Amino acid sequence: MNAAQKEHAPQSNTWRKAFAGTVAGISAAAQWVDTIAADRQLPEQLVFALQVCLEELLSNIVRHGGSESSGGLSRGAIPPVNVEITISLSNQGISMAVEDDGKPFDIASAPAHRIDQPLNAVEPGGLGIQLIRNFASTIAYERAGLGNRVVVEFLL
Amino acid sequence: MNVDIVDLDNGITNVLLSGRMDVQGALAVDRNFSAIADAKKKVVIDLSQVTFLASLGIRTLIMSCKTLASKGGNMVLLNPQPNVEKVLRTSGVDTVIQIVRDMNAAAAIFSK
Repeated sequence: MNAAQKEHAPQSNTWRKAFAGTVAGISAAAQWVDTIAADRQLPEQLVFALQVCLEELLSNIVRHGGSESSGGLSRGAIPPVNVEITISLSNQGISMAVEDDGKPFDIASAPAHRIDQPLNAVEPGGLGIQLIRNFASTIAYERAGLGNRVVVEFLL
Repeated sequence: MNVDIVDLDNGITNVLLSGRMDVQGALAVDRNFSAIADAKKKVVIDLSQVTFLASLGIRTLIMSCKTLASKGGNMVLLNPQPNVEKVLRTSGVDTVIQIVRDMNAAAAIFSK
């Protein structure tokens, strides 16, 4: 099976694709997931939840995953980390595994923050983790695959 | 992501956003928001055409609203789509920036 077939194999319930850990890579991954969702006619709310988690996981990797991360999304990590995403469909729902070879970071154990202070005291950090925990049914982290491996599940 | 800024007769600035306010979208409108926060006072962010909102987009909204508030201004969020509103409420944005359904409600908040 060549790369194109592996990316989007007919009748397959599993898709896997590599992306660069860059802003352009995040957009490409979102479009790839939309293509799968349209092909399988997945429910809109489930696709939205999947996209929220994908976006937050990848933006975290781009901002913080590199050994020489600039801390800014305009440049991202230097050099960009490598990312691989696996989407699996089952009767129970959708599973999405995001692997990267950046710095070790257990996002499943990291603190989440909801805005709960006056506006002048708000520092909007940790909101992405808050969103992942609320939009995914489960989240798990392990050191596996490329290095970091996060699996989020969305139950039907 | 597109941004259309209109100054209304009643002193309100209407900022109509359309598209995905994801990482790429937030980076694209950050400069617009900085300029709005510096120059305007009563700002309505019309989210009715925004199909997606990520934490970086939330950061753009919060930082602009903080700048506005520091000089006596205010911001409200108009008519978000249900999924986007869920992001706003899940993150707690609605506790610091009010969500309204129409311009009359926005004007009432600014007149307080």
